Amino acid sequence: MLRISNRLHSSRLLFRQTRNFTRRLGVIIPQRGILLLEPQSIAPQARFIHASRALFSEIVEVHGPAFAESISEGDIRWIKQKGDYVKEDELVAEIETDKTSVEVPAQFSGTIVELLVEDGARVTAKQKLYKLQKGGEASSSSSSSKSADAPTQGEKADAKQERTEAPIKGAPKAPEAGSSDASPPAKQKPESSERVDPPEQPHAKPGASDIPVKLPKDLIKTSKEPLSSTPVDKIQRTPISIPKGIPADQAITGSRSETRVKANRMRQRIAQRLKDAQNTYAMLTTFNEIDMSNIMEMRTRYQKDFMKKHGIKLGLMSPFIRASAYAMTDQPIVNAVFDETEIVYRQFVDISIAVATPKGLVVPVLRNVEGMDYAKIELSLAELGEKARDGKLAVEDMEGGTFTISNGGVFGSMFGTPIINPPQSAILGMHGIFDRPVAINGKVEIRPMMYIALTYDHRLIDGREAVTFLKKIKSSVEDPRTILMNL
Amino acid sequence: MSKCLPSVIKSVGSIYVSSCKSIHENLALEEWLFRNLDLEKFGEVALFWSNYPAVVIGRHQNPFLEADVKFVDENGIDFARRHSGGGTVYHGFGNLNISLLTTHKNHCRPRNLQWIAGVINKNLGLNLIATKRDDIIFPDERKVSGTAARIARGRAYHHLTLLINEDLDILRQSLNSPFKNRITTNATQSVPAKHVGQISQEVEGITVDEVKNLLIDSFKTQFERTTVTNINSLSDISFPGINKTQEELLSWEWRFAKTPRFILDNIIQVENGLIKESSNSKYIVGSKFYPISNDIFHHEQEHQQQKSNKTGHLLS
Repeated sequence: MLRISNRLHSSRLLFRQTRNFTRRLGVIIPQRGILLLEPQSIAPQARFIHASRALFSEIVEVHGPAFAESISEGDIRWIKQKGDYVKEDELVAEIETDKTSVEVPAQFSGTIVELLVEDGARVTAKQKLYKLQKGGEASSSSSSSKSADAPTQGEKADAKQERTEAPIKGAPKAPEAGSSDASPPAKQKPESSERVDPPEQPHAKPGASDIPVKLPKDLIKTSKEPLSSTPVDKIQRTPISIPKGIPADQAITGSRSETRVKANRMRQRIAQRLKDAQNTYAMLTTFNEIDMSNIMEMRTRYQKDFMKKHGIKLGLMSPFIRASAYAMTDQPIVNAVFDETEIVYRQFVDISIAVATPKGLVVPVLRNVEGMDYAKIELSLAELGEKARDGKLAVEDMEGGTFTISNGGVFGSMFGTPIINPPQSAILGMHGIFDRPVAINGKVEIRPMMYIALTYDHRLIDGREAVTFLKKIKSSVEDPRTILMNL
Repeated sequence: MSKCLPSVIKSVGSIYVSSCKSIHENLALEEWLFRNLDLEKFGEVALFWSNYPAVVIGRHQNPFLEADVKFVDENGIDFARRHSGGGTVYHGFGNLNISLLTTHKNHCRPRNLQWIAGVINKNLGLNLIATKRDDIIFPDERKVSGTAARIARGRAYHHLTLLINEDLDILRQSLNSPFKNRITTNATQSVPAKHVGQISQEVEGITVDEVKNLLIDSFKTQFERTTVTNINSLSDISFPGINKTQEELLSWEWRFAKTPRFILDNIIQVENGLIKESSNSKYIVGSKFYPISNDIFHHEQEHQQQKSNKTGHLLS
């Protein structure tokens, strides 16, 4: 019969007890597992049985369902209580998010062991809500729920021990290894000499006797003094002044304190959406560079006429927008989106342009760009920009783009990997234009160069398509004549 | 602002027009369609109905906090608790109830509301706006529609009221609870609209049927094929299990006992519909809670008389 020793100090021992003797089989390391004492010939790491509560008693932490669209939190209303037995699919709780009530049915049959949130508390999508003891019947699961407690951990360890007894070859009288005391008290004896060999032992084999057990260092909690350190509060510091425009609670002042500011809803939602994008898409980025000399020359040459005819300036975005639309007609997969089991091809190109307004980043959409020329693009951009600055952008203006262009170059970025804006499949990142020496026809020349990056969803778009797409943007911007020639 | 997936042209749509007049029948029908209809076969579903005057509270609400329960009883107004969340509404025959049932993925309230507002604006020349809180309002913020939704097992419904030519005075009185700031609870509380409005205020002579038909016609254009079914009565033969659903909706347990625990005036504590603690002798511990008078302190004889007369109506 296997038993656990109840020792007030140090870790517990697991031992096998028969009428005539007691054999120590292993040491229970709390919350880590069991270290078998035999066979000594195997390194301790190999003798360590990792055991967790989940393995012992099949308790699962259940999280809530996904919510609707972009709603991310709600109030939970418990329908079942702790200790209740639920059948699979029975209603355990409901989560109410403003107007919507979302059901939380039980994923497995079992007994609710613990509610992790209070009734009426705010929960987020996929938050852990309760612990369920998977089990067949209502009566038996309540008794096995006690196995969650530590003392009976050993009982379950019995089951493990029975299976692992086979490799145990000997019957060592190993001294206990304390958690804080690394030095073994017993005397050393070579493995093959005098051994205490209990005859009843079914696996009786010549084995070790008083071999001291040394636990691997990482399992032993030893407190060591740090070599040298200054207590944090004694650090000398010189106060610094806060630059203008930075709110007091964010500023670095030099004082050894932190402030916690609740993140506003918009920030939380942005965080959520970005993380969702990252978790859904197989995102990677491909790069290329563009020689901007032609475009800049075109602008200087035709700016006046453009202004005269259309009333606005010819900017740098429109060549890229036109180039993207052109490349998209050539590679429509970049305009599509992957939706679990279907690919949604869109017959129109709506490009979302990231615009920084005083209120923050907004991404209005230019509709049906595939049919626009530079002038039309500039006019639409100007209109959107004005609306954005006046705060008059409607919800419809910002929904439903099929591709995004983000211009980090205005802030001086040289190189970077943009993140896809769901539910799209790719995003073009434009960066700053810097004079660089480049090789042209075997000679070094200084040209205004811009790095561009295309982050795309590899689930849908393969490398070849992405690179071809980006190359087409490069060639269309570097030489717009290629658009006319359909090259 | 929510970003639903752009809607794809769907092939099948089903419209159900119920002429059942009781709120409970219609809620039972809605629940039945929600649980039992095969959406693969029937596509997206729209259900339209109007009913006798009724006050409908959300799943986790407190009727005493949301409505004037005595006024509602005394005037023969029905009282129901629906399965979806959200706030309390009053509706009678001047109101059109719309319920849109889809898969969880295709559930998109803003799209639905914009569609409805769009149809009405186009045909009646109005300027209705669908707000971020999923209400529909006139530009001057008079609210004409409230929304609630329910999501379960991969499906969802979005239902809403649409006030067309209702008696707004009775609406205001029904939803004006005397216990408004006197109840402590974590039940969901309604966010009352600053102003309530209805379509007939801008379009004289408009009827519920007219609006209903406009919406039905527009709904049909979204699908390659639609079927329209008129339902006059509910039977267990055509809708197996619906009688049980309706009984549940009518039961005291559902309508009252489901109220989350609350404390009234710091005098009475009610849990699961029953009085758990009371320092007022007229409210006996263990009995079903029902306000004898609006003022818990005073309990005149005539109020008690009224209570025993009315018990049969609501507490059954």
